[in-house]
Amino acid sequence: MRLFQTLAAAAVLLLVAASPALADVAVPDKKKVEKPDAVRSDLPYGRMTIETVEGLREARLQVPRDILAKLAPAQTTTAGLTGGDQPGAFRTLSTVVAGLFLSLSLVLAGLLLVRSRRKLASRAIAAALVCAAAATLAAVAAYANAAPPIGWRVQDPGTLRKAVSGKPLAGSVRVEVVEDGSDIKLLVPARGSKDDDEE
Amino acid sequence: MRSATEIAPVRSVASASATQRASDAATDARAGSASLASSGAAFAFACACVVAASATLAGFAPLGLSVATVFLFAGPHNWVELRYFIARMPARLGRSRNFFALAAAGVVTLTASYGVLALYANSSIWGGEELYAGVAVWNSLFVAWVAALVWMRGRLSRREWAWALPAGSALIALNWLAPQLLSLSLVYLHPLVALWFLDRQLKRTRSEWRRAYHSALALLPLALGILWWRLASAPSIPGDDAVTLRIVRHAGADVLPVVSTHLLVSTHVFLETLHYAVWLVAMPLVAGAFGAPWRLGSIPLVRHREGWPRLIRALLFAGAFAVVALWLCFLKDYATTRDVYFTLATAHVLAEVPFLLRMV
Repeated sequence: MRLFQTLAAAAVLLLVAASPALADVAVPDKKKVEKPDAVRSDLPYGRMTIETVEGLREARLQVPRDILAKLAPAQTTTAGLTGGDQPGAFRTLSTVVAGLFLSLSLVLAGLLLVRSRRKLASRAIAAALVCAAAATLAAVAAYANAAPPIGWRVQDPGTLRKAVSGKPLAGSVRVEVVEDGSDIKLLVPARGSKDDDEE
Repeated sequence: MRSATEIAPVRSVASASATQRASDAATDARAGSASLASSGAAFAFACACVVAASATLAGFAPLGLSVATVFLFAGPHNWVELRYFIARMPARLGRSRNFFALAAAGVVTLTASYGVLALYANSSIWGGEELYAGVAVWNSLFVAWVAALVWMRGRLSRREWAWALPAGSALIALNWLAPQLLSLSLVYLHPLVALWFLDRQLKRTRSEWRRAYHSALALLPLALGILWWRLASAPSIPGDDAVTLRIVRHAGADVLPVVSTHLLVSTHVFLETLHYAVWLVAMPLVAGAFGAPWRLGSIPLVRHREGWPRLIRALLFAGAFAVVALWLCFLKDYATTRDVYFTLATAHVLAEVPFLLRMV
């Protein structure tokens, strides 16, 4: 009888817990729609300068090699690590397996708690403290107004805004990979250079 | 029969003598404790110097230090670890038989599967999905193995360590969300395990140095903090040669693309240098095997009549031969040897788990 009551209580609890689940809601559309105001923290970042250079005949875009290296496709290392985004099918599988193990973890933790009733009070206090600490840390992380890491921040375009005047600027450039420095540079021939004079 | 007046001087002389002995003993004890305290302070000072020097070198020349330390110390530190683990093995396993059986099975299986994973990773047979799944499965097996060992060790030592099972399950769940992060955390946490080993060994053989060691350990977060502060916005390490790319990727450049590779490599090589220093200098010094590691008389598996002295000697000799072979291979082709070494070295990373648990 007692077993029946326990099972019935567990079934009721499961139904109550499952009732708000949005099982009939359509799967969200996972197609990436890039919004113009999105901060693409997955992309590498760097400073850019536009300079006019006296005597330069062609415009030249200089890109530091380490930025290019970050743009290289993800490669596998011998340590079994891979970079970049997770592939789609793996993402689905990982969610399922992670959910299963998370459930197993909760079940095992519950069983342990039930088995060690003698120390229930101290354990409950410890669990409450852990929850409180985690909640506090989460709250601090969310509301402490600390700036995110530099790569995740909105990259300030600075005075580059002044380089555009409403209508697009276009022209050919030579793309050059440079070893030194960390800035991307657009070198533009100065007005009144030799070619302008010839025209 | 002697009178009391005759006996009294004798008593007073005896009493004076006892007082003198007690005083001498107290003086000896004070001198001894002062000596121990000063040796503990010297040990802490040496630790602090190693931390400071490693952090400075790692900050200024991360690539050079990485190449040099792996070339010089990777092989020897594995040999020292092997000798240490053999010395920690009991001659008769007794109740620990199942614990050691699971430990050995885990080390062999996980190392072999890691090697297979590395082979597949370098071939074009597997795509990204298969590789992600492979890494996640390997990580899951590793975490499950560690959790099982913790649980078994808890049962053997009559401690409540069953929490390892839910904690392990939760970690496996997190691993499936970001398997590459767990792999990277192993790369960075493994060097720190050596510091834990040293603490446990100090507790056994040099407990009077422990407080000084803990004080020196406080410098570690400070050194890391300074490294991260100074290198957070440092430009990434230039160069796309095979060695540089391997070092940079091993430190997690692919997993944490927004972090400066200079910071990553410096942090990793700093911790690795400490790891080598602990295993090659501090552990033999504290365990009493410094200067004469070939003396095997104190090892239970050699000394005990049920031990395997020939096998142990052969194993250590083969290990020493492997160290020399590794040096030669490094000289021949550093990049490839580094790959092979870090794949096979998974065995020593895994072997540390059961022995550390035995010491906790």
